[in-house]
Amino acid sequence: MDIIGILVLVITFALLLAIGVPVAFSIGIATILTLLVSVDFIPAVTTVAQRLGTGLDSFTLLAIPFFIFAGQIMNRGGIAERLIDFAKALVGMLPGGLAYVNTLAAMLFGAISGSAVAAASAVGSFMTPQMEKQGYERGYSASVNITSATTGLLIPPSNILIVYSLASGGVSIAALFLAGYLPGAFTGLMIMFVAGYFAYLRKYPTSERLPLKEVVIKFGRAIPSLLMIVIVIGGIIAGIFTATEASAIAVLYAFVLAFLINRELKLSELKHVVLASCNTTAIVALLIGTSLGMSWVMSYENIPQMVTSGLLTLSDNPFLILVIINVTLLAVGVFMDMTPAVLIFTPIFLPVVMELGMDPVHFGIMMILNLSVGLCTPPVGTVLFVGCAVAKLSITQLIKPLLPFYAAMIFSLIVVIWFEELSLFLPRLLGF
Amino acid sequence: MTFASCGPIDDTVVLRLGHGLDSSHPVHKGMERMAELVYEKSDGEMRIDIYPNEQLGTERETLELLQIGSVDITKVSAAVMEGFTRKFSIFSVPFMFVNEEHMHEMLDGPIGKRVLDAAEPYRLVGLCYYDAGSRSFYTTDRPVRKPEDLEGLSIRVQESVSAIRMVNILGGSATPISWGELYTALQQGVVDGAENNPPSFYLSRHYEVSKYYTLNEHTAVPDVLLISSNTWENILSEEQREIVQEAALESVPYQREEWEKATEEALEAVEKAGVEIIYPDREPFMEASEPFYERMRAEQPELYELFTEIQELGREFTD
Amino acid sequence: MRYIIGSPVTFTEELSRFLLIWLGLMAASYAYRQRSHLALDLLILKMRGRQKVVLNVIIHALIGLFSISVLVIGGIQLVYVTYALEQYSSALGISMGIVYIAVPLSGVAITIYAVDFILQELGLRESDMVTETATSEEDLHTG
Ligand code: NA
Ligand code: NA
Repeated sequence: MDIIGILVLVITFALLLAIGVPVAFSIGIATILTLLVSVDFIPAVTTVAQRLGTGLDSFTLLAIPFFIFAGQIMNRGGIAERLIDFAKALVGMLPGGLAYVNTLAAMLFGAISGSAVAAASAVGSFMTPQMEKQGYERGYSASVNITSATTGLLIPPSNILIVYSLASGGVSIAALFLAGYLPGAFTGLMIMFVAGYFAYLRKYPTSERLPLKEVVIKFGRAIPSLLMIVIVIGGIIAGIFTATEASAIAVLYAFVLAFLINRELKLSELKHVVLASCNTTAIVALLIGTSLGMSWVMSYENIPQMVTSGLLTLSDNPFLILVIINVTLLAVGVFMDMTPAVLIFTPIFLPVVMELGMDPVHFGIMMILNLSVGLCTPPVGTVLFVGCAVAKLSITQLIKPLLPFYAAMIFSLIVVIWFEELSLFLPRLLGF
Repeated sequence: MTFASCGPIDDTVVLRLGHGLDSSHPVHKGMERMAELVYEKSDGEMRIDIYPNEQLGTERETLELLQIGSVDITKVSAAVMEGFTRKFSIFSVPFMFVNEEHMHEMLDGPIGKRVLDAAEPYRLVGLCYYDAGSRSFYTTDRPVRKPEDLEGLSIRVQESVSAIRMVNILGGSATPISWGELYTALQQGVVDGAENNPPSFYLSRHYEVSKYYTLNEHTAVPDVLLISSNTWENILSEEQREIVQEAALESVPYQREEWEKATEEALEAVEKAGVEIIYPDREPFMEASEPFYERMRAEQPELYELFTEIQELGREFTD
Repeated sequence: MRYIIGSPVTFTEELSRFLLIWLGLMAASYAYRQRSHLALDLLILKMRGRQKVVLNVIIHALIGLFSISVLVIGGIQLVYVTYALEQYSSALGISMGIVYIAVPLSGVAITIYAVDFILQELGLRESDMVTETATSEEDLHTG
């Protein structure tokens, strides 16, 4: 009976996705069909309805719409521009300077906004035209932009780390946030390394070095934006407020920044910002609801236990099991959006790796970095989609230039898996 | 209309039991024993699959799933049952039981059965009570030796009206937050303390962030094992119902032993971890609870009647 | 109100949680109306003419079936169970049925939109693919 359940789940889900049913509905429909294998119609539909409702019934999750809203305000509030100027002042003079600027700006913006999609669109729309003017290939700029935007998922604040905390049954958000810094920064460095190599090969131009005074001015203009990281993350880590409270503060701060300090967002645009935030929240909310439903049905059908015992009997070599898990996650990421992937696969893989003695914080960072690769790959890759749209390129035109950057991310993934200190050093230092 | 009719090829009846505790918890062990007994008594024709750790949802959500009919059995704290039927709030009355024997006598006897049966109109059939010991306060920064020490402390309580009232009457400020978020809440100072029984205090690792444990034993809220009316009436035969009921009752003495062991181990372990265990005089706490009884008498006369009945029973146990 | 006790934090916390359920589900139907739920469009982009119409009708029909069975029927049953069996929220003391009404309501909206999309595909209603600026409130009247 369990086997039938798994088959129904996997086959219907794949089929629905393939014919173009929206991901959230594909998950929901596969869930209800699976449950109908062992439960009558009325209890089955009522159960899935309950999982949808209760899935959203979480104070922790409340941080997500707020961070989305803050990100939307920043997107229009002149914040990306100031961060780009600051990044230019810092790394613009290196060979292939604008590529570094792009990476650094995406890291900073992703760090502040907590959204890879926001980073890709905000930084990409500024940087791509500038880079093209200086003779950079469009595919190259877009690849740099897309892959570096994902580092903002590891550098806090990060909605997806909040989702992971939820899926893992309450791993500390503050610890996860601290753990994300070094792996996120390391991934950014690896992307810069690849970008620099190609810039050198193709003799991409260098920007002029700015006088120190200019650098200081640019830095001054970026300070209010950068201060947000200090306030929001500092507050969470110091235990002054919860992630949810921090997200509300982030909205307030972004609002003040965009309206009063930068004066780039007009009140008339506010309606648009609110609607866009609702739209994004809705997409995420339905994904969270249906994914938690699917995760529940998997538990109900004992799938996590089967996977755990299956993996552990397959091999008792922790290294091999980690390789299997990572290859599986990479494959999952190719086809599935990150939020459902985290919600569905955390309860399946976390018990396995904890059996092997892996720290749940380390596993979370590994999982997010792994699935970040998937965000940049077709067929389902939100950051890729946004990056393409901003650069006005088709997905097929981007595949080849993206390949070396995938390699950079996967190399970073291997390092993050291998050296748990990279993730755990900061949280341990601060006593988590 | 459904696939279930052509579903299981063999005749094994599989009952799904979801609860929120860890599998090392003594109450989980009681349910495991019950599952074994069901399997033995039915010669393998019935099986209970246990889903610990909130795999199927929180206590309230799992109760809903019992009513909906997709989960068969669950264990919830009697405090959670208050959300349905007021009778269950009797267990949140502070200092009601004279001692452990008194409590067991009440749970095993006709009064206990009457309270259990109050779940029936809500599509739930009560099978048995499991011992969940006595609840006491633990605090992060300030020790509680007498009721006055609770003044100004925000104390986490279960989502239960009477638990909130009790803590407030004793002088604390009751803050219902979820059990899963409590560790961080204690650590970050969102609350100053909480209240629970020794095994839960130990297994939740809350002792790492709470350095004082005041064994004032204000309430003894038992756990309740419930089965869905749908399962009970439409799926199980007369004979199978008997098997389930017998197995549940037979698992109770075993669970109580396990509980006692776990309590001793827990107290030993937390003390070793540096927690100061305080054995306060219970008298002042009982006196401070007077307004609770008064309010109950005024607002819930039926409940008060039940309370006096239980006190009556307690006479046998006072020395 | 029988449950007004406890600290104010709980009220706001519970209220905001419930608002998230409402906002999330209501906005989910709005996002469907805006065609903004993520989907894999490789197959649909390859198709032309009749084939494309058939595939789109199938997709929206599946979504409609899901929302009728799970969101509407399941949701109403859920509201009924929690309302009739007197499940109250702990801080606000409101029936969980009221909280859960968001499920069937969003289901009704999604079902209406699905039917509308199908009618549009079949050419029985004018397509609104171009005018995508309507707000959620205005949207509720177009069904
Ligand atoms: Na971030
Ligand atoms: Na992908």
